[in-house]
Amino acid sequence: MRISNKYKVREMAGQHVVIIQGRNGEDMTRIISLNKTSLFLWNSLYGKDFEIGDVACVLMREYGIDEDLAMKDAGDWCAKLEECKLLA
Amino acid sequence: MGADTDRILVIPNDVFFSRVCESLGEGGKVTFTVKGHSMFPFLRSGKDRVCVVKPESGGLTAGDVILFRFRGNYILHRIYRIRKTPDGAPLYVTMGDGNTRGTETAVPASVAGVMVKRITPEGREWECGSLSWKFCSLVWMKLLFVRRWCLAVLRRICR
Repeated sequence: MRISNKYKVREMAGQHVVIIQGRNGEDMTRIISLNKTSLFLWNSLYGKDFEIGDVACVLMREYGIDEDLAMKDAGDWCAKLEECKLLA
Repeated sequence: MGADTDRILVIPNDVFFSRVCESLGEGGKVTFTVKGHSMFPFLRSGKDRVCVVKPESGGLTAGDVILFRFRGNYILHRIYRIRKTPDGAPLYVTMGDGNTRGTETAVPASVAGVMVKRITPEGREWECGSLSWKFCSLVWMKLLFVRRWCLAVLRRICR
């Protein structure tokens, strides 16, 4: 999978957000707020092809968590990306 | 990503519109929900969304709804008249459709965008280039002298 290059993280009012591109351009009524971990993953994986295992590796390296937890969190994060239609 | 997926993020006017202007400057289209009653009945606060694009230079006419900076804030109001400044540049005199008095002025440099479409919560779109929009806008502008009463009636109906 890959994060769609249509989306860019912008900083707004102290939050890191992704603005959804709709039929009528940037839809400011549908923005996705990224927390610190999600932003870190986004920045680490943007522009790259990755699998859940790659996300888990990034999490383990950065946060020193065990593999089971990393795989679970990575799976949740990827599912969320898909739900928000942020994948290419 | 936040755990709660349906949170409403309230952003200060200047911060929000700086971001909007950035996108418009890059030639993009931006859609946002309007807040405030000054463009009622054409735009209903918290309900209707507007689609805005960067205006073509010299392409604005009376009746266009523009997004512009006025006294530090961004406003979306309609152009009622176009005057000329001493150096020949246009000066847009604007007013909210839901207002009965009070106008603002804008110079081309302070205009960030022009509205091209209204989208209702049900997803119904009303193009500003359509005959129906232009006709309704013209009638509303011409009825300024009885607007107070029109608004009173419409506010009762639309409540």
